[in-house]
Amino acid sequence: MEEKIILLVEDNPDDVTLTERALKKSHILNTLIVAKDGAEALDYIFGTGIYSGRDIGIMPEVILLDLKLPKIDGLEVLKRIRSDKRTNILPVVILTSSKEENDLITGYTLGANSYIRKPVNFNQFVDAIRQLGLYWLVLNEAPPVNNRKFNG
Amino acid sequence: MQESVRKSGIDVIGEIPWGTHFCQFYQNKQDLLATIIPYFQAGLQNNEFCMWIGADNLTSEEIRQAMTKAVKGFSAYIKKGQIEFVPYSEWYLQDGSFDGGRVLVAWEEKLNRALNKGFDGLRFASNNSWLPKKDWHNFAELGAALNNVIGNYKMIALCAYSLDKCNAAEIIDVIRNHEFALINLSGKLEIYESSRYKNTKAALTESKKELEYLSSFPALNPMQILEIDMMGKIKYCNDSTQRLFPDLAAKGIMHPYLIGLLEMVRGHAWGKSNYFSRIVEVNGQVHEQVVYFVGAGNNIRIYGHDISEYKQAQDLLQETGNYLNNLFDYANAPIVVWDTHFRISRFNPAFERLTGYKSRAVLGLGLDILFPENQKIESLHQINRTLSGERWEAVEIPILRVDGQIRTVLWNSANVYDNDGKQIIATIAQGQDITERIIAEEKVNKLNEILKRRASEAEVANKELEAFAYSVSHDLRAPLRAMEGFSQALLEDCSDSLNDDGKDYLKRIQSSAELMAQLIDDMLRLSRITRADMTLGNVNLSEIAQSISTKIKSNFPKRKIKFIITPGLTVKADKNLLSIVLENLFENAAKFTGKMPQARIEFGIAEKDGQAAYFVRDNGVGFDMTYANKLFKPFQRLHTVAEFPGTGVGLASVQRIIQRHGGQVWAEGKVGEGAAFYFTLEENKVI
Repeated sequence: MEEKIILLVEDNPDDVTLTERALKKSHILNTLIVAKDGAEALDYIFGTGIYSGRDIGIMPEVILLDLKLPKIDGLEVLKRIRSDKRTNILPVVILTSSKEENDLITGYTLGANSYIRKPVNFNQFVDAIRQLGLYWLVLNEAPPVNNRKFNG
Repeated sequence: MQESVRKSGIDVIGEIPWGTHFCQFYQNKQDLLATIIPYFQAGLQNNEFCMWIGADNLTSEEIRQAMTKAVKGFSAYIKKGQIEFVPYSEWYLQDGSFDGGRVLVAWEEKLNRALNKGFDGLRFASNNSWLPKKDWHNFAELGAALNNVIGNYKMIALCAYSLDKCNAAEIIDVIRNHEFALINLSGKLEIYESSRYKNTKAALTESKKELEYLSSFPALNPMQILEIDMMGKIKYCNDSTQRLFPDLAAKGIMHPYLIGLLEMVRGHAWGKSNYFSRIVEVNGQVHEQVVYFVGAGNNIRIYGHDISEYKQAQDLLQETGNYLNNLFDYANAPIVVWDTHFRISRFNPAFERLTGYKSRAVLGLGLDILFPENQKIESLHQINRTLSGERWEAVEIPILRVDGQIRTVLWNSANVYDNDGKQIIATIAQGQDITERIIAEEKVNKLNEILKRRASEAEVANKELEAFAYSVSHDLRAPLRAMEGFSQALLEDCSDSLNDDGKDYLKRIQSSAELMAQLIDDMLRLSRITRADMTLGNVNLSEIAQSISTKIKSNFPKRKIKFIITPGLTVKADKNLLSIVLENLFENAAKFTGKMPQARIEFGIAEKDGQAAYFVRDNGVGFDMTYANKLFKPFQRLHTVAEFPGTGVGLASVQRIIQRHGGQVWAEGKVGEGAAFYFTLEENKVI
């Protein structure tokens, strides 16, 4: 069985550390790929830039996407994922600080599968990450693999 | 008018006037009949009464038969009594003897009778062959007398003499006493006129012409000319009088035109003037007349000049003049009139107010005194153009007031032309003082600019605020999460090396981070309320209150809370915002009644200072009215978080929303006795 990769797009190293901790505390031991900005995230997904040559037949099981990012922001990353045949049904969970109405609406409109606001309270954050992992990595049936493969 | 010239019926004579007295010498009956028959025929056909005075040599019967034969419809004339046949003996010799005076009177009576019967006059012929020698002299005298007076009557006379019976002297006598003589000589009629009559007749014809000419003057005069005697009997009236008063002759002295006229004439006759004016109503029509009068013997001649129409025209003119003067004087707009030399010929009180000049003081002066020095040439140039027929439409020409102030005035002008409509005689201009308007416009423009600047400033500020809010919601929370999260990590991973104080400190860091996160959230909520678009609609507050109360009950299942909600309270407002208001007020009430064994929360409407105010009232801990003004300020709290949790944003949000609805919100309360929050909504006012 292929390993289920989680792609975390997050520029704040504290948040990365806390997310890693929360995943560990929730016993989610999948490989965590961290992209520090939107451009890096897209490079990973499409095998470009520093990730050129990556086997893009292997796609993350879920992308945890922050919105406020350097270079290319989260909503733009989402838009590009959704507008590409290879990735248009990839599960994307927005994981961000903001609960601005605009961000929520735009996020869902662009095709986010879920929108989670990071709580300040760490225990609550752990709880959220645990549920998130349980849902997307265990309960949820991912789209068929061949659909996720670049076939050109 | 009856014709004064009559047809004689005798070709060689032609037409003759009334009063013609002529004779004929005949040789036989045929001669006489040849004259008499056409003579009478012409009289009968022209409505004259005819009389034949017959003698033995041509009897009445003979002439009647001859005329019956010759004149068509003769019997009808007989029946009508238009012709009479009288034997000479009956006419001239009543008592067997001849009396010329009596015969003259008889003729006059005959004429009057004929006139009364409606005939135009009397035409007679007399066969004088009967005359005996002894009466010749008297008869000649009668002829002379008749000749003298006949000119005054509507009478024509033909005297026939038998040539056989007259000697030369007698013939001459007859001819002298008649205007002319007809003599039948060898079947042909000839006229003999005595030179005396010929001259007289010529003179008479001449004077008659002269008379006709002169009488045409009063006859054709458009004034009313009439002569009346002192009894008011009309002696003369001209055509114009008859046209104006057709019933004047019929009514005589009782005619309304004459009633009172004589008295006025008499009254004025004592004075010096021979005229007066008079208004008299005749047949419903008012006549205003100037009446001149002169004495004419015992009669008075009246010359009436009807000035009614003239007077009406004059009244109308006067009325129009008054109207225009009023318009001019009471017009609010300044009006000035100048002549072709640009001299002020008139200006109205409004113009006096505009310029400060008194109209009297500047009449006749040049227009240039009205203009500021530096604008004079330009203004005069503008004015000069009106002479070429140009009309001003809102031309701006400033006016220099007598006190030195300058007013901005818009002018409209129109030229006034002479009666032919060719020559300009004056120009009239009407102004509109726009000085204040311009100042006001400048003020408005300035204000608009300020407003625009403020609006764009506000827009910029709003955008900044939005960016700020966005940044806050993202960036400020991340460090808090780090503080909280790593504190937790410390507590979990290094709990062994921490004493209780250390653990407590970490917990304090955590709760501070959470509190700050809460503050940030509340702050953002408040700013969202300020920025949110408003959509007004009908909002049922009671229903919202009901659903909030349900939610509160389920949030605090263990508490005893009694909700008293007045049903059916509906307002026009933004539903989302009003929901936030009620949520905040209800949650507050629930919070501050938390320590009551039996909480009571009421929602209703009350009258406060004459207007409807909605209220949320509770029986909670209440508050000190001293701090009532602090309640609605953001992040201001009257209780510690330990007592009652909260950040102090709820009531500030309530106030924002109510203010945006044009209403007011205030609180009443007392420590330990509950609190009441009132709000009003001005439904149509949106801030």
